[in-house]
Amino acid sequence: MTQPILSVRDLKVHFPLRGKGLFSSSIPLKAVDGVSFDLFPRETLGIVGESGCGKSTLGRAILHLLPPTSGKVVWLGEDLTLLPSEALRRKRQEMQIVFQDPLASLDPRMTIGDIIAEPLRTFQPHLTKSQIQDRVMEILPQVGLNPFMRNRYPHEFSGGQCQRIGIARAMILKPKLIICDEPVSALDVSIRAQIVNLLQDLQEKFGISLIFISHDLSIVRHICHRIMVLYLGRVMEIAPAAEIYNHPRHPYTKALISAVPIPDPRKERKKQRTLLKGDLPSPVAPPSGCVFRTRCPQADARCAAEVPILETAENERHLVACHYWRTT
Amino acid sequence: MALLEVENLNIRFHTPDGEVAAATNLSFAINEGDSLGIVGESGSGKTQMFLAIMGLLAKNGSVTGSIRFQGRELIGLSRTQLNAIRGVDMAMIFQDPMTSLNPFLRVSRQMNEILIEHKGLSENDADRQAIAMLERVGIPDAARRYRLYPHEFSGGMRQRVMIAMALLCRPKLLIADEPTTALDVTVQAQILELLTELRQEVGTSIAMITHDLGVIAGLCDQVMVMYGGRVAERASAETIFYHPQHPYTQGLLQSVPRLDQKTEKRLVAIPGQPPNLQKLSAGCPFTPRCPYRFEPCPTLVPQLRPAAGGGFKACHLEALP
Repeated sequence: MTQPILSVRDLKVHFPLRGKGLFSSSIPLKAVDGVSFDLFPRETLGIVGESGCGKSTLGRAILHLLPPTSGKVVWLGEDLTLLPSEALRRKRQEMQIVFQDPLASLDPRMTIGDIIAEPLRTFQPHLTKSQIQDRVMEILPQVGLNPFMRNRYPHEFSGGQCQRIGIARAMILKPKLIICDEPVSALDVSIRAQIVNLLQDLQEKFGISLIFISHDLSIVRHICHRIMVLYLGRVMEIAPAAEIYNHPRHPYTKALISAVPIPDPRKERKKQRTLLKGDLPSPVAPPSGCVFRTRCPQADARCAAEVPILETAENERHLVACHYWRTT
Repeated sequence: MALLEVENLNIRFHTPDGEVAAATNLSFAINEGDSLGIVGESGSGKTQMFLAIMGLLAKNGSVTGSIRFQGRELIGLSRTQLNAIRGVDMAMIFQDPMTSLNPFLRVSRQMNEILIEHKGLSENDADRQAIAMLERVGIPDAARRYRLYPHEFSGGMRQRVMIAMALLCRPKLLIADEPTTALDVTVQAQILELLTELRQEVGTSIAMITHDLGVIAGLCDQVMVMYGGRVAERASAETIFYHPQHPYTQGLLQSVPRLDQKTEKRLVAIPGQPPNLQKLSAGCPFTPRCPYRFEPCPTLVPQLRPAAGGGFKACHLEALP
């Protein structure tokens, strides 16, 4: 079997929050709490979950844009958590990120040519001006932009075009991994498909791996090979895309899937919904045992007492963290 | 009789960069008990249209045409006259609940004020009704929470508070502007369920503005598709979803991946960019992105006309190929 390009082991990101009293010790907010997974070359892994489940924090912690509290991030056999900062910085050339808000992630006072060239100037200072320009001219058509637009400013572009610019900036260093953090959520429905297609084309052409963070399960199903479901910083289920939709094992995954409205009136009105009660509990005081138990229709005393471990369900590619996945 | 009748509505904004046509020649009606879904991209005029109906347009906006609510013309009414209608017979909820909740006042004050002002209830009666309404929209422990401030509620709960406020006077028409867009799917499902129940129970008509075709599919019987400030197509949900007549409607449906089925390897995207309302061309606003455009499209605006399936479309094509 091929070696994973990225292995994350028991990754934790805790943010210290000040306690209530003046001298009381800080309380950890466990944004990501013990996440493990592998990512393979040319694979797209989807990370889904409700807001506050830790999906963005996880993405940033993998790149060390946020320092992980503990755990390992092994990139091509090398543990990033042990690297000194300069070496880590150089590694980042191979791992890029695309953000949700396309306009906010671009400097309004730089031309898009300069924005796209910036990673090159930072990481490959030996390149001459004309070499850099050539690279920019080469990347623009690949993301569907006209090369003569390079002297324009971000505000002259629509949301979809700005996202293309963000993708060009991520692609210019020829990375092996791009983390896409809600890359289409801020875009109009008619534009989303363009960007999704672009990401798939680039992946095919350059053989990159993608981590696709999104709350839109329909798009995740379309673009991802495997999907990881997060809840309050923990992995509930991870499995190949078709399997997670056709045979979800975790009650949370089931509820999530049944909550997504389908653009088909006859089906949508007949659909059986598992409505979850209430909202996501506060991550500062997560429930004991299984974090999902307060909203789970099947929870019992065991769920409150014992944390379910992520175990193999049908096959070794399908993992689930629930005491009762066999009977649900 | 139609509850709301809009005819030839035009909305213009005067900006330093010139006039912006936010909505052009809109005509539609909502009957009692109807639920109308309004879809379109950002900037298609869907929100401005309903702000105009509520009399809430920004100062630089101007409206022409006719808006009749229960037979009464709303354009030209004074603020006092409008206040007797909006919040009472016609209410609006927004994407961000904090746009209609005052952060400085307890929910109790914001809710009982409505009943005291509009219905002339005593404070005690108003409190009782308001708490009952909070319970109705699924807020647990409503009597206690009634005394809290908006920031003490979670996003989904705040949305429920706003819905409860909007429903206090049992409005005939509820305008919902992307009420679930900022919410998680699990909470969205709760809110949509609530709206469906309320519609059946109270008989409120609903105008649902959204970009999510799935939300429309679950809730709406009639659908209006907008593009570039105009109506592109208006028909029953059945026609829109199963036999769309306008190329934009068709494109929109094809471009959305569906959770219930394996999609093709590539999505069928609509090429190009959304229209710039400041630089609308003379013809059909969808022309630059339309796969079927032909000779009249760039120069002649298609008028809304009857189409197959009992609906209306604004397209020069006789039928989609």
